[in-house]
Amino acid sequence: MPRGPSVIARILKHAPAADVPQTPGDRAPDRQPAAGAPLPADVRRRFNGELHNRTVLGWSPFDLDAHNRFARQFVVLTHDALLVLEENAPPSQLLLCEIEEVKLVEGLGVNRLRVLIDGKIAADLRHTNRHRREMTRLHRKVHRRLSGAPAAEQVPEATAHEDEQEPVCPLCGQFIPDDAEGVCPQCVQKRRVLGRLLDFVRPYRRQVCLAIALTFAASAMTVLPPIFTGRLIDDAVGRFSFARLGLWAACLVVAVSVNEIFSAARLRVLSAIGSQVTRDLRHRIYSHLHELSLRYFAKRRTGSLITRVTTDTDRLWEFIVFGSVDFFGNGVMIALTTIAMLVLNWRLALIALVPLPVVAALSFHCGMKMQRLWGRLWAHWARLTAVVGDVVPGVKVVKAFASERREVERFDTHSGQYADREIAVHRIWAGFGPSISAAMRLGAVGVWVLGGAMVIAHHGAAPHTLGMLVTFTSFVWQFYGPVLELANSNRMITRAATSAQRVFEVLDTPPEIRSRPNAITKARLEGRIEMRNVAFSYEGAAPALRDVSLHVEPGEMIGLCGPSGAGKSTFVNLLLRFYDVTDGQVLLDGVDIRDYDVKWLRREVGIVLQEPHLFHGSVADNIRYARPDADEDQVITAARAANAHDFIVGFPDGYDTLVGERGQSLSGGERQRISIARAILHDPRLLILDEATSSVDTETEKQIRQALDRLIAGRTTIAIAHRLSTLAAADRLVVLDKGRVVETGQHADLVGRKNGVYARLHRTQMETYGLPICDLRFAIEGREAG
Amino acid sequence: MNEVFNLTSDDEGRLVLGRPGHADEVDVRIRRCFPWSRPDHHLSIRDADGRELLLIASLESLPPDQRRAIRRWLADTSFIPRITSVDSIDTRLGHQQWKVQTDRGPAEFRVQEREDIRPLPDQRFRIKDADGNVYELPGLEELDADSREAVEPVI
Repeated sequence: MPRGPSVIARILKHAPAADVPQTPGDRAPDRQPAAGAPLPADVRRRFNGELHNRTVLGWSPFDLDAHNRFARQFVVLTHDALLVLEENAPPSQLLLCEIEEVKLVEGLGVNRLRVLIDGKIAADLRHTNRHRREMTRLHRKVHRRLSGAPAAEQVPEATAHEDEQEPVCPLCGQFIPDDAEGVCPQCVQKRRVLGRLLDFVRPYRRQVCLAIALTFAASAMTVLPPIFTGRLIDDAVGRFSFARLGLWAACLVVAVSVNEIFSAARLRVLSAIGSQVTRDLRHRIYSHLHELSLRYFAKRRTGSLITRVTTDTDRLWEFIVFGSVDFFGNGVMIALTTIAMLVLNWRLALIALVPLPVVAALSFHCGMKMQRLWGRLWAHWARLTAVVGDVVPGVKVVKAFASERREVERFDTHSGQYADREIAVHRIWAGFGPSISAAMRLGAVGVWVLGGAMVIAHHGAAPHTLGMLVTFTSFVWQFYGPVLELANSNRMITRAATSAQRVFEVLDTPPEIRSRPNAITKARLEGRIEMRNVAFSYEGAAPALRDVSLHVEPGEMIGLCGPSGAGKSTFVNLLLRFYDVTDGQVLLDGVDIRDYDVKWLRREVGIVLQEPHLFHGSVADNIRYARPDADEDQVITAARAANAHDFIVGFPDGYDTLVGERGQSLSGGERQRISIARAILHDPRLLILDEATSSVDTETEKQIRQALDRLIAGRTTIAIAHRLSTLAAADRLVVLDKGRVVETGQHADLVGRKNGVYARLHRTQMETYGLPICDLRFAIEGREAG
Repeated sequence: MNEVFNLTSDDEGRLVLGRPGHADEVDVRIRRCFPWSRPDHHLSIRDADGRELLLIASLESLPPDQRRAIRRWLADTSFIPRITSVDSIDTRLGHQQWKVQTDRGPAEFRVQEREDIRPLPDQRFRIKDADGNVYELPGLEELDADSREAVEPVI
């Protein structure tokens, strides 16, 4: 088995392509080693000596050498050792019996799997974020082996479940990388962007056929007037006949009118199609946006998404209505005019066509350039929109800091940049138009000169008449008009293509969180929660939860606390399935949460947020949000239970009071209680309270607490709070710290633990809020007594 | 803030923070507060659990050997390849595939969003790939013509 440079070269050659391999054969082994996939064949071959007679329990690629340069390497776990397979060095092995500890050290782009022997760093396997998942899995496996776990546990149940989930592209059968949001990079974009618009046009094919017929007719009509003009000169003027003058003039009037009637009809049909198609598109984008997971929104600016739904679809309308006409209609006109000219006089026709290649080359060249520039221009425009979209909702903050001027300056900077780009774009544009028209006009002059010479040489004898020359020069203009428009439509087409691409980008992103094909729904959720070794990390970030395990019985109230950043909100996000776990399982009533129907699941789980979001509409609409069919009685009952009824009725318009955008016209406590009423009406089996009583005064807090007690009764509840007093009613407290469950138990028990996280939090809050401990005790006893 | 301290690296490459009245803190970490706009100012020295032990206002104010130790540690732990030239950028729906040469060797990565290419105040660009790795792209005029042509449409 050679271990020479050729093999190394092969490995190296494949190295950068790890995520987007060229052929299926290279593909599968590089992803998902923990799934029990075999080592890549070339690696196995190369290190055959070391791997001989050894079972590979796990492996991971890693990609940085000791000097932080890219290098393809592998680490392999066997029964007795960790093998480090490097390209440029003989493989080294670390015996498991000698290894003291393996640690994952996260850095800024450089992560290490650190192996310690006798307190010394025996190996520091450096890897970028690309291989963090694999290395984390391997680390866990090594860790389990070192801590003496039985071999059977090498493939834990949780991992098995996850492996089954590995997405495979239905078209090419290859694995889809986790970060591709489910879009197979191999298969996407095989069809031309604008061609895809046809899919949306298809339902209107009858109107489209009509529009095409009208376009064709209108174009054909334009060939007639020059011929009639020629006849008018030769037949009427040449013979000094008034009758014939009237005849040909009438023919001209008819031809022109019919042409315009056809054009008007065509425009009418096309604009209707355009409006319908873009309406369908807008609907598809907007409804698709709602299907997409939170992860998608977390990464994009609202402004850029708004532009896609509004401006981009508008540009597509423009393209369908005007662009398609320019394209098709002008094409037909050019073809017909060319034929007419060739039939009339092929020599003159060739002269007239001389500038054509110049025009074509010019427009092609400029088109490429323009495409780039338009893309950049759009990026600036999106940034500009984003600034407005960012600042307007935060206008309170702007005013509070008296930073209006700074905001205006920030806007001006972007606005100025946009203007600069726009000027640059139009500068090229401005040069382009005149050069084309100069080429055309020179062509026309050529026709006059040569045509004139022919008429003179033949003394005006047929077919070389004056009328023919006039007809011909008209044709030349009629020929170059569409050519120029075609070149101009380049701009519209490139704009439309950029817009279409962005629109389809949204449509091509499949929702990450989806119900699986045979998703389960249940008549009634009991509310038993179980978290099994749950780990989760947001994209490219350090793990937010690591190895969390927890049982919650139906009807139990869990108080979730811990310092900020401990993973409390992540915990809730997983429970609502806003995100899927990275590792481990979340079970509801003993069933994996991913096996349930997503919509059903979210209906069964209610949430009261720290910053409740109220939509524009009446108070009643907002309470009804979860159950639009609820009648007034139910709304009032819910509001009463939420201690909201009294203040709502106190408004002049009662339940019909408009809450204003984001509920700005209500106080924090009022918004809070409206959202509790919403949750009560929603009647979920599983309730999540996110810091529901923060930032309100004591009296309001009491009111809210009371409302919450009614809401909580009989439901499994997970309550998050920074203020520990909020959690006094909890059956059990779960304390998170740095993504782990560090303590669980009753308040009295936890607060007594020296050096406990909870005790520390509690002490700090005593100092801050000065809340006496007996108050908490009272609250607990009060709940137990009730 | 001018606390007395001493930062050294041990023979394993770990940073050790010594302060009078405190036991030596082994394996401290450094985080830049403004990694892009003011990389040499406001460096937060933290213990292995992420608690801040010390905030260094400016690297300039440190004695040269300590400065060197910090720079070495930062260079060793942060991985931000500087793109020297761009071979190709393949724009597909939803993402871009970049093939580049960097000061750390050739690389190929995927950029998911336009938003992941962030212009920095000094004409440079900071590019985050789909894996969360960060690359630095110098200002356009520092690139060769081919690279510039490849990059222009996407920024």
